[in-house]
Amino acid sequence: MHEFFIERVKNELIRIVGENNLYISDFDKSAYSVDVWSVSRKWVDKGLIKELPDFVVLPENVQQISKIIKLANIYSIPVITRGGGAGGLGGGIPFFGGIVIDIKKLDKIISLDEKSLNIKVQTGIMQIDLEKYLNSRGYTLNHLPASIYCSTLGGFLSTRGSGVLSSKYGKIEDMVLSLEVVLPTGEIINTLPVPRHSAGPGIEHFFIGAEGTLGVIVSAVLKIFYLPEVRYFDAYIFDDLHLALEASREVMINGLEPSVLRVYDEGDTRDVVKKELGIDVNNGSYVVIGFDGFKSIASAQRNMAIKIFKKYKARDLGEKLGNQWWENRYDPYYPPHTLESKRDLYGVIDTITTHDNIEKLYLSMKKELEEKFSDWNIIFTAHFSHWYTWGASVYPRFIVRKPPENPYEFFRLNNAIWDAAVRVILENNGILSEHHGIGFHLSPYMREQYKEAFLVLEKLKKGLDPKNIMNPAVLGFEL
Amino acid sequence: MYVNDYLDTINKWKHCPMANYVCPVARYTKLETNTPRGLAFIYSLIVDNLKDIDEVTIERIYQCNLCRACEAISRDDSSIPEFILAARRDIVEMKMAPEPVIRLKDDICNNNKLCDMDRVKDLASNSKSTPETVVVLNYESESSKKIFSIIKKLLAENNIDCAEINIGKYPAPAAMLRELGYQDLSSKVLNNLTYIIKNVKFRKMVFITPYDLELLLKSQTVDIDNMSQGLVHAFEFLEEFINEKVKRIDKKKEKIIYIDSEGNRKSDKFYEIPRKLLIDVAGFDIKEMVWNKKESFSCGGLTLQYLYCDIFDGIIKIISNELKDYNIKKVVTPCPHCIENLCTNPDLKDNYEIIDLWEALFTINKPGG
Ligand SMILES: Cc1cc2nc3c(=O)[nH]c(=O)nc-3n(C[C@H](O)[C@H](O)[C@H](O)COP(=O)(O)OP(=O)(O)OC[C@H]3O[C@@H](n4cnc5c(N)ncnc54)[C@H](O)[C@@H]3O)c2cc1C
Ligand code: SF4
Repeated sequence: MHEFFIERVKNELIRIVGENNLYISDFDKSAYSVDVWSVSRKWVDKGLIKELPDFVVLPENVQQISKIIKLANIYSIPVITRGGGAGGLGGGIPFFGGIVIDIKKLDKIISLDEKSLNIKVQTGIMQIDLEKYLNSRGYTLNHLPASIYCSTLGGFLSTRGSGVLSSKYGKIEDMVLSLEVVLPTGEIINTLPVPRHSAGPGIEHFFIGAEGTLGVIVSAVLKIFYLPEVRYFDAYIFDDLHLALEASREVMINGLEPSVLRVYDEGDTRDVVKKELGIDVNNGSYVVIGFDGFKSIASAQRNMAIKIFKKYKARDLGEKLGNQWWENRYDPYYPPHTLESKRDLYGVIDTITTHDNIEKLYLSMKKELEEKFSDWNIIFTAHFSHWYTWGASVYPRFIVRKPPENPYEFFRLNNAIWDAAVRVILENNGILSEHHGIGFHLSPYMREQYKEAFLVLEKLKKGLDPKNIMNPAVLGFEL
Repeated sequence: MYVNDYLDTINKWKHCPMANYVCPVARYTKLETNTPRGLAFIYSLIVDNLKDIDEVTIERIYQCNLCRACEAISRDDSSIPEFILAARRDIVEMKMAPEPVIRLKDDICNNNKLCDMDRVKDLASNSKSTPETVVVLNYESESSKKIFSIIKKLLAENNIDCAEINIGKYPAPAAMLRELGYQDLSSKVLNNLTYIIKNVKFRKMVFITPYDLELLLKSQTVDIDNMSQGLVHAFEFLEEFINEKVKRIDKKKEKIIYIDSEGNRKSDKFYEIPRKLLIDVAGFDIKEMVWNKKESFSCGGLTLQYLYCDIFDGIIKIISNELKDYNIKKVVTPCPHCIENLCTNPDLKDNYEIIDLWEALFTINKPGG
């Protein structure tokens, strides 16, 4: 942008948000030029940050956001919404400069309805703050992702996030009653107050998972739950992954509603469970299963599940290990355990499909990556942690311990691995992402994923964002 | 560069957002470059010679409250605040310290007796203490004065001699100067403090705030080994005193809110003492602030209010907003300096009774037996 132009927009932004809420120093802008996508981080490590936003603003209310977006429309400036900056696929990177709207000052609890059990809250709130607020009053959202400590509600809504209790309580989209959104042309709208109706399609779903391309979600009404009377966690080991997957499927299709169901493949069983959780198991497939709610109901569900697990010859490792997982579940995401802090090339390719495909998809991806990238000694492990009556997610993780130092080669290798994995996903009726979103990185595959149906998204985008200013370059939309 | 000792810490945290939520500064400003990750990230650009340090980076480095909340939740011994301290030392050596930092440094040096050896010698020679005296190292403030008067009265009732050494305007000059990046001046204060310890007679020397005591005990350069037994933090002494001298404290089932003190860190051995005293000994029904315990929030810290008062005020306001939720008007925190910080907020000052442990135990509950 020309300096004169920058100066003009700057003055207009100051009029909207005030001088104290506008940041234009190089250092401040640099910190907004990356999220946790490993390639972007490698990029900056090598001094290759090129994509600085022109402005970082921290609006204090919805009206300010509306005015910023109207301004951006006048000058056709890109607008990137930013929450906790913990998205893993480059969805929040300002590739074309523009205005980064950091939404975290919109963090107010607007109302708590203790009769209908819902809460209206602004989306810039950190997920942990929302959960603590609810817990101190005897409630919970039951949305407990590993990034609860670093991501915002808006981020989860925009990427259709999942928490560890999703097998019983669903993903974030299942918790939404209604949304307030600033559209890409600056109007402020509210979706219908309840999600179950027959008055047309639920338009809240246009914005959930839209990764900031169709507007800024500024507040949400979410259903809440009482904190459970009991939580049980048990650990089991199966002779192999196949048995563990079959037993888990049976638990799900029988409607036993485990709150947690985590099945680890042999690799994860050895590596993650042993090293990171400090639990000593040798082989087979490790499973943690949890039940919560009223004691009598949770116990009955648990007993039924035990029966099913026993049928598949599961060995009971006891409650202690199950509880240990619950207590230590955030540890792997802190240094020194994080892969970032070890400078590895890594990726998590979370996907989801129906029960009939799940094992095939997993085995094909494992074979493909291990064979194709054997020269790089690629390590491939996976766990299966979000279950539904109709299917489950696979959370595969690849690690290359000695990736190329050259960032361009690093980027190419990363892309080649992902490309091979994505091919397997698409060939096996899988979906590109279960909860991390698409971001910049998976954007090129969206048309292939949706086929003709992408037209619907495209028309929606063109209609709502005629100047294509909202988060360009993500979710497969054209530039 | 001192910061070179912390490259590992910077590398570990510059991409990890998992400590951002505990940072009181970032919780107020919401700005990425105020978070632990953001600070490590921007400084990595400097240590990797990708960018030159500038005024904004220096400002961000001094906006860190050094509350150590991010350190407390770390899963290893990497410490963002230690990296910040090193960066500040470098900034001071490069003569790039911002104006308010220099002003505060000068004010501490001018208004604190421990900064000047002549005044230290006066303090020592004017002391009338004996080897049986409990000497309280105090500073000039309303709340610390109040605490001292309670200590004095209680000790008198038990025939224990008590004396005060008043060090001046600020509660912890060595810790404050270190926070500002003036390590040499901080070491000098510790040496002067050692002079007092060696030249004043006492049975116990009680530090009314823990910061300088902590530095002294950790210091490699000062030698107080054989005397360190007698040096205690105020509520360690309180616990000891209650165990030895107070047979019964009336149990009062009163509801109070407990705010962790920033000076009382989770890694400290005396971290749980205040809770033990309030709950087990005095029978209070305590409501913990949301960020207490492992993820302790900050009372506002030692120096932030003099450098970036808007951020300081913002942090206190967050505390004040949380308090409104509880409908309890009595607030206890185990450090007089925290009380002063909290009372800078008119809403808190006017609508709550904010008291220290000593007051909670001995003014509300009269000692029995
Ligand atoms: C250690 C770690 C663990 C993780 N674990 C999980 C997990 O268990 N489950 C899970 O689902 N994810 C997980 N993630 C991924 C990440 O937390 C999610 O993608 C989350 O949704 C990102 O939220 P954020 O607030 O950090 O958003 P950002 O990274 O700031 O933004 C993500 C995307 O959402 C858009 N956006 C953000 N806020 C809004 C808004 N209000 N309106 C419109 N668009 C918006 C942005 O433009 C961007 O495209 C993890 C990430 C990390 C680093
Ligand atoms: S020491 Fe406190 S203020 Fe500084 S970065 Fe850590 S949490 Fe934030």
